[in-house]
Amino acid sequence: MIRTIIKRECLDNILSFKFMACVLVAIILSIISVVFLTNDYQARLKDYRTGVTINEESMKHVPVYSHLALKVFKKPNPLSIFVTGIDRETGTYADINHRDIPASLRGGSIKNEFSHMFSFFDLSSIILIIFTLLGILLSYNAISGEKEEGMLSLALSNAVPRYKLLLGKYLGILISLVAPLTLLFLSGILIVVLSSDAEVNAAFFSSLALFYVSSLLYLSSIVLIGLFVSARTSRSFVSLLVLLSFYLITVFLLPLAVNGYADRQISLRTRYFEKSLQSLTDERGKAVEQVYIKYRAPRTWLLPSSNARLMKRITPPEYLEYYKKIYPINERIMEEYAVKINALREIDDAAAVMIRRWRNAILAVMPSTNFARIADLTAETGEAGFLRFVGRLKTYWQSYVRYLDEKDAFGLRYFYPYPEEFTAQEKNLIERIKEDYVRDNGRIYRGKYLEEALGINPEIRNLDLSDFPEFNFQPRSVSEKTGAALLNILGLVSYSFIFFLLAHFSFNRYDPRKDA
Amino acid sequence: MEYQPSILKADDLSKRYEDGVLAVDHLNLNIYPGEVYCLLGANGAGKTTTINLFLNFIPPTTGTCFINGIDVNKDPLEAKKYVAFVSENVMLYGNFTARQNLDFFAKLGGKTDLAKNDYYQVMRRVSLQEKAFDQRVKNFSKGMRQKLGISIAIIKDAPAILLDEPTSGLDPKAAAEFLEIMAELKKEGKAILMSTHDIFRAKDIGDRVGIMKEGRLVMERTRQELQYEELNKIYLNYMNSEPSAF
Amino acid sequence: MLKHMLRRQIVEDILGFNFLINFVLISGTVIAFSLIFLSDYRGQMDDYAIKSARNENHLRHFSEDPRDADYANIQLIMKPRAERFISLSYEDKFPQGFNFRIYPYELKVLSKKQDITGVGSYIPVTTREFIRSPELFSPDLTFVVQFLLSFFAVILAFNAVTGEKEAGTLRLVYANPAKRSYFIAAKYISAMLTLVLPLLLGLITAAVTLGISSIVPLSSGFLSKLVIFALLSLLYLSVFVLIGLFTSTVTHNSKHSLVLSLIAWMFLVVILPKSPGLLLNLKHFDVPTGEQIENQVARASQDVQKKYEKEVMALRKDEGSFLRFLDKVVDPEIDHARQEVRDHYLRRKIAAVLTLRKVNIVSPASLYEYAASAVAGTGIFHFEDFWAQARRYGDGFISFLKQTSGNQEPYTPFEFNIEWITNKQFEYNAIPKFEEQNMRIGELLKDALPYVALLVLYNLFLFTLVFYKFDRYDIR
Repeated sequence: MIRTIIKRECLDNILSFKFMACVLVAIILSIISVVFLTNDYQARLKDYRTGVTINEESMKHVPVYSHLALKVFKKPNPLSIFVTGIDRETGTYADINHRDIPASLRGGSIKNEFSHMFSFFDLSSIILIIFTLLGILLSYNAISGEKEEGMLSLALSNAVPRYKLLLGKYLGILISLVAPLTLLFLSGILIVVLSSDAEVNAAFFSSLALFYVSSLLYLSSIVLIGLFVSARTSRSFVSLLVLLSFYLITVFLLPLAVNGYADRQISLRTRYFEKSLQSLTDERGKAVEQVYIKYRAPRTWLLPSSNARLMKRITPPEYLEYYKKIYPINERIMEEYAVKINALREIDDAAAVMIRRWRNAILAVMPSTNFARIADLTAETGEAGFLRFVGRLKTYWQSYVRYLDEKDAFGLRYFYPYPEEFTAQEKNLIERIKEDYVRDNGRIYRGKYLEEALGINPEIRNLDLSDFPEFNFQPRSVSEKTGAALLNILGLVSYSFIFFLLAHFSFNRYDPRKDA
Repeated sequence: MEYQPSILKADDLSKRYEDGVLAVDHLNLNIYPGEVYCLLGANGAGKTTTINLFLNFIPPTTGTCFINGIDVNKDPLEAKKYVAFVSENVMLYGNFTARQNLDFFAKLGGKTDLAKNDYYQVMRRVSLQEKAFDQRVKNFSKGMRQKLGISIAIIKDAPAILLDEPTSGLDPKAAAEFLEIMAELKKEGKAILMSTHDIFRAKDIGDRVGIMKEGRLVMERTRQELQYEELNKIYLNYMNSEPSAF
Repeated sequence: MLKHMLRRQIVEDILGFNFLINFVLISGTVIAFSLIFLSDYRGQMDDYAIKSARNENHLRHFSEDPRDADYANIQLIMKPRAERFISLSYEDKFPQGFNFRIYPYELKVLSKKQDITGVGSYIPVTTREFIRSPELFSPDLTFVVQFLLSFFAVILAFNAVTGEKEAGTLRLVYANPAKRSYFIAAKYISAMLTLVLPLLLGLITAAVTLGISSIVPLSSGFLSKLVIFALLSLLYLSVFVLIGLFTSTVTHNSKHSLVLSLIAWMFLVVILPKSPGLLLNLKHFDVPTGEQIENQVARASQDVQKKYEKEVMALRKDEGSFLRFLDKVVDPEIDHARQEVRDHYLRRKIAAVLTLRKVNIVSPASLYEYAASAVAGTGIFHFEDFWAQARRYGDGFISFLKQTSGNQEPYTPFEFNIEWITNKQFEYNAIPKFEEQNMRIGELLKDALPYVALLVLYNLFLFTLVFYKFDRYDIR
C-alpha cells in the first residue's frame, strides 16, 4: 500500500514543471561550480607542491640557523570543491621562526580586495538554496492541495490508515529530492576523479558520504516541515506563504544577521591584543636594549645594519665572542616574548570562543544552519578546520623551538659557519667596507657588496637537518568528524522526528472535505 | 422479499456543527443490496453531510452509521473496505493518464492484482472514449472526469457505493449513460446511495427516494408509490411546508 | 472602471496574509540590521578616533622635529558614515585607506592583513586572523529592498492573472465593458502601492533606530539620500512586479506562474549577481597577491638602481656630487617607480571589478545595488574618490612644505628633500590636515545615472511586454 503511494507521489513530482525547472537550474549551477572549483583546487595544489618543494630545497642549503626560513604549507583540501568554506581566503602558508608564534596564514587566493561582492556557489549552498526551495514547492500543497482538489476525500474513502498516506507522501517527496541530489553528487565526484591531479582517497569519499547523509537528513526535515504546515491549513496559498517566509528567514536572513552580528562582536571585543601589543613590544625592545647595554660591543668600526649578514659571515674574532655571548640571550628574550605575545592573543581567542559558542547555539535551532555547520565540520574548510590548523601550527612551533634548543642553535651555529681563516677575497672585502662612507639610510650600494659577499664562499657546509621535526597535519578521520558534528546531526534527526509526529497528529485531525 | 441486512444503515444519526447548525437531524436510513436510494434536498439540506458521516470524515453527534454491519465510527478502516465513493468534481491527478489514476485508486482500494485490460474494460464500461485511456487527465472535460470517477468506484467492487451529486454539470447524453451504469450496478446487487437535486433523474433511477429538509428526512417513497404522483410537486411542496411525521 | 478595479485590488492585497508577513519580516530585518550597523559603527569610530589621535601625535612631532622620520607618516582613513547603512556595498571589506609617508613620498594602501610592527621593531608580529563567515549579502537597507521586498513584489504579482482565471473572476470582469489594459494597470498600481507601505516603514524604522541610538549623526544630506534611495527602490520593485505580472500572462496555471516567478527571482537576485566571481580567475582580471606586489615594487627599485649604476660608480670619488646625484636623480626616480607599481595594481584591481560589474547589467538586482551604492556615496566609487582626495592631500602637503622651505624651484613630491627644511619648526595649526570631503549629490547622481537609466529601460521593456501579452491572453 505504502509503495503505491510512494510511487505515485514520486512520479507526480518528477513530471511536474517545478521539479524539472529547479533540478535543471541545480544541475547547471552544480556542474559549473564543480568544474570551476576543481580547476581552482588544482591550481592551489600545484602552488602547494611548488611551495613545499622550494621549501625542501632551501632546507638543504642552510648554513646557519639564522638562515632557516621555514615555511609550513597548508595542503588544499579536495573537499573544498564541494564545500568551499573559507579555505580559499585564509591563506596557504605560515612562516615559522622562533620570534613569533604563528597565528594566521599568508597568501590567500582572494587577491582583489574589491571583489568580495562576487562570491560563488558550491554544492552545499546549492543544496541550501535550491533544494530547500524545491522541497518546499513539492510539499506545501501535498495535503492542502489534495484537499482542495478532492483527491483527499477520495483517498480516505478507502481502507488506508492516515499515517500510511502521510508516510507515503513523505517518502515519495524525499525520494524525488534524493534522486537529483544523488545525481549531483555522483557527477561532482566523477568530475573530480576524472580530473588529473586530485588527491582523493578513502577519507575523501567517506567524508563525502557523511556530507551526503547529512544532506538527506536535512532535506527530510524540510519535507516534514512542509507537510506539517500543509496539514495545518486548508488553503495551499497560506501554506506556501508560511513556508516561503520560513525559507527566506532560515536560509538567508537568520544566518546573515546572526553571523554578521557575531563576527562584528568578535572583532569588537577582541581588541585586547592590538591594544596591549605596543606595550609588550616596547618592553621587549627595552629588554633587548638592556642586553646591549650590559654587554658592550667592541667598537672596531660602525656597522651599518644591512651588513649584518655579511658581518656574521666574516666577522673578526672579537666580534665572534661578542655575538656568541649576546645572541643566545637576545634570542631567548625573543622566544620568551613570543610566548607572552601569544598569551595576549589567547585572551582574545578565549573571548572569541565564547561568542562563537553562543552563535552556534542560536544557529543550531534552524535545520538549515545545522546543515551548514555539518557541512563545515565534514569538509573542514571552514572556521573549525582553520582553527584546528592554527592550533597544530602552534604545537609545531613548540617542537621547532625545542629542536633549536637541543641543537644549541643560538649559541653554536646561529650566525657563523666555521671558516677558521679568511680567504684573500674576504680580507679584501673587509678593507673595502672599512673605507666606505657610512650613511644613515645607506641602502643600495651596500647591497651591492652584500651580493658579492654572499657569493664568496661556495664551500659552506650546510646544516644536517635530517632530524628536523616534520609538520604533520592530517584531516580528522570520519569518525572524529561524525563525533564533532554529532549534536548537529542529532538535531536534524530530531527535527525530522518531531515534525513527523506533529504532521501525523495534524493530519489525523485534518478535515478532508473539499469545501470545508 | 427475502430478508437481507441493509448494507448502508444510518441509525438515529445526528450532526450538529460547532457553530450550532444542525446539519443532520435524527436520520434513519436503510439501503439494501440491489437498490438505488436517491437522497433529494435543497442545498444545505444535509445530503453531503450524511455522506461525509458515512465516510467518517466527521464524527456524528449522536447515532451511528453502519456499512455492511460495521460501525463506521468505531472501525473506519474495516468499514471502508465495503464502500466505494464517487465525489463531486474531483480534479484527479492531472499529470497522470486515466489508466494511471485508475491503477492508483484501485490499489488503494485493495485491488492489487489487476491487469491493464481490466482497467480498459472498466473504462469502456463507463463509455469513456478509448483514446482518453492513456491521455493526461488535466485535459479532460467534466463529463470525462465524472466517468473516470465512476470507474474508480466500479473497480473497487465494493458492495456499497456512495455518490455525491453525480449528475451535476453533465450533459443529457452523459447523464443518460450514467443512469444506465447505475442500473447495471443495481442488477449486480450493489447498494447505492446517491445524493442529488435532480428530481427527474431521481425518479428514473431511484428505487426509493428520500427528501431531506433542514437535516430531517421529511418524506420517503418507493418507485411504485411515486407512479401515481408527481414528484416535483411533492418536492416543491415539501420545500415550502412544515415537515410532517412520516 | 479603473478606480473600481484598483480599489478592490488594493483592499485584497492589503488584507492578505502575505502583506502581514512581509510587514513583520521587513521591520524585524531592519531592526536586526540596525543593531549590526550600530555595533559596527561604534567599532569603526573607535578605530577612527585612535588613528586620528595617532595622526595628530605624528603631525605634532613632525611640526616640532621634521627630521624625525619615524613620525613623518600619517594614515588617511575613510570615515565611517551613516550612509553605509543605506548601502554598505562591501565597503567594510575594502582597504580602509592609505598610509601617507611624507618623505620619501609614498601613498600606500592599508592592507587588512598587515602585520603589526611595533614602532622601532623589525620583528613582524602576525595579527590574529579575523575570520569572517563568507557573506552572500551585506546587511544594509539595499539588501532589504533588493532581496526581501522584491520577493514580496513577485509574490504579490505572480497570481494576478492566473489566479483570477482559475477563480473564474477573470471572465466575469471581462463580461463587462472593461478595457484590457485597465485590469493589468489596476494590478500594477495596487502592487506598487502595497509595496510603498513596507518600504516606508523600513526606512522610517531605520532612521528612527539610528536617530535614537545617538551614536550615528543624521545629517540632512543623509535624509535627502534616503529619499532618493526610496525613489530608486520603487523603480527597482516595479521591475519585479512587472516580472510577476509577466509570468502570470504567459501561463495559464497559477502553479506554473509561481514556479516561473520564483525561478526568475532566484536567478536575477541570488545567482546572477554573484556569478562574475567565476571570471576573476581569468588572466585578464588576475592580479598578483599583496606579497607579489611588494616584490615587484622592490624589483622596480632595483631596476632603477641598475640603470644608474655606472654613473653612480663614476661619481663615488666626489662625495658632494655623489650625494647630490643620488638625491636629485636616483632616489626620486626610485620612489616614483615604486609608487607607479602600487598605483598600477590598485587601478587594475578597481578596473577589474568595474568591468566584471558590467557583466551583471542583465540583473536588475545588480543595477539597483550599484545605483544605490552610487547614491549613498559608498562602495567602489567612494573608494576611487577617496583615493583622488588622498593624492590631492599628499600633493598639497608637499606644496605647503615647499612654501615654508622657501625653495623656489618646481619639483614633484618625489623630489622633495627633507634637507630643505633647515631645522625649521612649523606651526602645528598651519599644517594641512586631512578632512575627507563627502561627494556632492550632483556627482553621486551622475555616477548612478547609467544604472538608473538601465532600470528605467528595463521597466519600459517589461511594461510593453506585459501589456502586449495580456492583450493576447486567452481569458477562457
